[in-house]
Amino acid sequence: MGILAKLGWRHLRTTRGRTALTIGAMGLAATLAMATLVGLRSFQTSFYQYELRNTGGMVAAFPATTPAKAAKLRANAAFDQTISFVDAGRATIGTTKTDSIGDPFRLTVTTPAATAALKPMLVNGRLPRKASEVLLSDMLVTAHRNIGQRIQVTVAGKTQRFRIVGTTNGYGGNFLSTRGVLQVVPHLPAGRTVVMASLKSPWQGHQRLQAITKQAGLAPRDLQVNLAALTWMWGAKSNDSQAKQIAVVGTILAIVGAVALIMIYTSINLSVRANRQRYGLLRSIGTTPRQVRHLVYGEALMLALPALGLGAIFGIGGLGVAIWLMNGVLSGNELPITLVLTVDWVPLLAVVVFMALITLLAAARPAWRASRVTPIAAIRALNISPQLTRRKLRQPWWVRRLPDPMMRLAAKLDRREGRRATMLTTLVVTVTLFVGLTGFIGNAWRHYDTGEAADIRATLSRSGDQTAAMRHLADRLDGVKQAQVTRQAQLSIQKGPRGSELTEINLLVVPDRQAQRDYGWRPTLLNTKALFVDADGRRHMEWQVDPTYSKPLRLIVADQRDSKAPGLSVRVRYQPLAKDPVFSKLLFNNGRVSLVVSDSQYQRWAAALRVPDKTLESVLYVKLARPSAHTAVVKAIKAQFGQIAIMDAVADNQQQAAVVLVMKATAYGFIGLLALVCLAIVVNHTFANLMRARRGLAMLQSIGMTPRQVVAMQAWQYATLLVAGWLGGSILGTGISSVLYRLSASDQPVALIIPWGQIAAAGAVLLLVGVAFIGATWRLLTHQDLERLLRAE
Amino acid sequence: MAILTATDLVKTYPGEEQPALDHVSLSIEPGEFVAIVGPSGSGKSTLLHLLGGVDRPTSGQVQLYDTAIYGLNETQLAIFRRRQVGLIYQFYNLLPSLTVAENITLPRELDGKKVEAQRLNQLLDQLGLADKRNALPGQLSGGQQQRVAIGRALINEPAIVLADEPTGNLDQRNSQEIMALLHYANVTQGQTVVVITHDPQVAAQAQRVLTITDGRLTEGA
Ligand SMILES: Nc1ncnc2c1ncn2[C@@H]1O[C@H](COP(=O)(O)OP(=O)(O)O)[C@@H](O)[C@H]1O
Ligand SMILES: [Mg+2]
Repeated sequence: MGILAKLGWRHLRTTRGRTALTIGAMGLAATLAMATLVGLRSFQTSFYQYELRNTGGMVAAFPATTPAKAAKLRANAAFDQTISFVDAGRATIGTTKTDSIGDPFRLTVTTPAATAALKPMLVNGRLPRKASEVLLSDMLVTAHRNIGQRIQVTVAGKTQRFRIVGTTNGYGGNFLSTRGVLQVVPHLPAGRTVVMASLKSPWQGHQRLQAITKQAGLAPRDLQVNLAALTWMWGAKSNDSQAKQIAVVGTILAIVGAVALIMIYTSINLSVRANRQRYGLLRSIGTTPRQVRHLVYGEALMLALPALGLGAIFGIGGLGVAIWLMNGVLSGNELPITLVLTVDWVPLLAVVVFMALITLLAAARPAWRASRVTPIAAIRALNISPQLTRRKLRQPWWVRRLPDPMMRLAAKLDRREGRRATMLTTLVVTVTLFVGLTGFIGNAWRHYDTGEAADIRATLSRSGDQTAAMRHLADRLDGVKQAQVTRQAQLSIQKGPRGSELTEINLLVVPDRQAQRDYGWRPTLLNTKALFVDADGRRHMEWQVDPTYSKPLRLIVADQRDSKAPGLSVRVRYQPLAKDPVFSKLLFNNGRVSLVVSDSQYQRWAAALRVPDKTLESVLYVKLARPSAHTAVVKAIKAQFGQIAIMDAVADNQQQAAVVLVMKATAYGFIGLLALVCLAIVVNHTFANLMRARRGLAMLQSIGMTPRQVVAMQAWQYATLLVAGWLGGSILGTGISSVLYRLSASDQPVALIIPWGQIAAAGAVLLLVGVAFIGATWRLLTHQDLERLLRAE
Repeated sequence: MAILTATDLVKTYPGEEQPALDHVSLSIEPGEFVAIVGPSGSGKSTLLHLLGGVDRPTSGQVQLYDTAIYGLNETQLAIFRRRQVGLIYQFYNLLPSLTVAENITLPRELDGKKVEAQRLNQLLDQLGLADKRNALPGQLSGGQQQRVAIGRALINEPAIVLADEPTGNLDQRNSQEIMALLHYANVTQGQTVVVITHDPQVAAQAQRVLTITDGRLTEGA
């Protein structure tokens, strides 16, 4: 070990308190960097895996080719796993040759190796276990062609009989053909073979897959790629969402980098400042500026190492716990996503390089300053008198007005000696970041809150009038606060008040009894407000149908807009949906306009409106007495009506709430950590200043000030600093949060929402910090060795 | 030939009107033992720092043999200090985290040179610190710490040793020991020594005494 390294090492060990503080501070920065990078990586891989499930873990499917070429393709070193299937050709099922759109069916043959790829396609039933069993596309299911039944499939003149054991759905984006019949056999027959592959590394995956396709002599445009998955790993060719992701990650890393840089810079700078005399002494006995610089760099790197260790432990450990908790929330709500803590070498190496670079960068200026310390500093300038401007020497009016002499002294010393600018700036930035970002997130999520409507909506179409059966069922349901059954159709306004043309209207047909009781027999338009942009580009909420319009509205069926249908002229009563006794709690207040009519009135309108019978729906709206009843209610509805479309808001909300919770936790965790690092900078500064002021304080004590008085004096300084930082940061933060909110919420006029909660939280934390400062000061003062401090050394 | 020549040294501290050192010229011969005396605040330390290349003068020059030291850049000046000057202060100024032996050998190690064990042992014996070689400065008395500082000043066998009130903080007995050490180096190795002192007894032991008043050399130049 060279003498400089030895000197640095010894110094760090002998000034243990300071060293621990610096390591702690840098460790916090490392934790932030580590948690951010590993966290982002974990999210990336988790969503990659999630998207890959759609294609059974395979990234791509190559165009069909000969068995020989397929075998060669499968041997490519870039692949991790490969699966093949054979496209056996056009198939005839029974005598049917095409589906309802006129597309031909196909018979697809694969091996048990493809089980993982088959599973996500399965809608009902199970996977085939024998060659005589097949999966059928659910679009081909009929009463005589369903699970458990046998079908005859003819391919190239050869007819085989199969048993259907399951149905598949083609909307998952799977590479296997879902248009027809899928057979699983032990050995792949000869034929046009498709190879599916997963990549060892997704890096530049899309380009590499295309190159491989070309090499194999296949048409690259027939290559199928799971782009949704590759995009998460930035392996897709340039595309929008990938660019967005990179921008977001870049921004986050820039913020983290800046904060870590400031943190580490402050730490090193403070320790250099505290060691001025030492550097002066080294210079006086002939250490060159270069050697002093190296000493500072060396010491900084020596601190960075344990800091990295701390970062790894707390960053990855904390993240692990956080992910574990989040997975609990996600699986508790039956969400199909599992977050996986991914600790691989890319982010780890990145953090190490990042920390080393930032440490060197942060050490550059302090090192330069240390090397510029004159040798005289060691000998003479034991007490460098601060550079006092005349302005600082003057006492401002408010200092003179302070009642307590101690406070006056405190204010005076504070003005003359305090290095407030840096700390105040850091504090303001900290509070601004915290209040601004958390305030924005709070607002953004409030914005996504969709409002209140029915908990369950069951819609039956093409089955004639089922309202009587629905009403009957509704009477028997348990845990229901309100149930309403309507027949409905979609109309649109052909002629009406300005701006309302083409507005879509929900026609709600209610029983005569209800029409009489709640609507006085009058057709009632339940009006809602929507966002309009006026000529000046100003956004405002406006009634969708101007209620002051006194002429009749002309209505037609929504999808007959351009037909020659005559339409129907009706005079309506206007009623804000929110005030409606029946539907205010069942329909969205910011949703569509509805028109309520009685059953018998609708009969009279039917001829003029010409609503095709099959577009008339029977709808059951349910508002639950307690959310937990939703499972039983949904079950009862399904039991009676079978294939019925059900919207279950309780289940949806639970899932959404879970997702929001996870996102919120992530965002708050990140911002909290960020704020913590910033706060650590302030704490670090304050304690460094306190240590520097020790001799001065000892002097005050020696001339008869009690520790209480000294602490009171210091407390005053802390209080002014913290309060100023809190107020400044809160105001700036509120501004930033409202600007961000305005930028993000482009579809609604926004009001300034002051994040009181966040401001209060910041205040509470600062209060805690202040109390900690005072406690530490008290301890320091009651434990310090006056004689030693005062002896001229 | 003179080992050290100062020509017309002027030092005015920033913000001061009176110069702390006012056109001082002097020369010091090899092997001389010189004392500088004068009232407090007269500019003794200022002169010493300029002679040792620790501070830069407002005008004037210092030459060591043929080298004009204020023509050197920072790095060259640092190396000059390390090899040619041994500085001793009133308040020892040792690095608290290095042991006695490490403090003494520091200037040599900064040069990337090893210290022969024999030379170190000899020096430690001479300083009476043989049994303290692994002690930290905090565990030593004032006199012992000052002896470590002397060792550090002598280790590189510099052209000149400059001591600023080396006994100012010590009692009678320790003062005598320190002066004896400096004399010993002067007599046995022909070490050139310049000592600033308040103490008439110390000054009396010097071959030549320079007196400074109000920044001017008034006597013995
Ligand atoms: N850094 C400085 N800034 C301003 N004036 C200084 C500084 N150092 C010393 N002085 C002034 O220079 C004069 C000489 O000081 P010094 O050389 O320390 O005297 P001595 O060592 O003889 O007591 C004194 O008046 C002192 O106040
Ligand atoms: Mg002096």
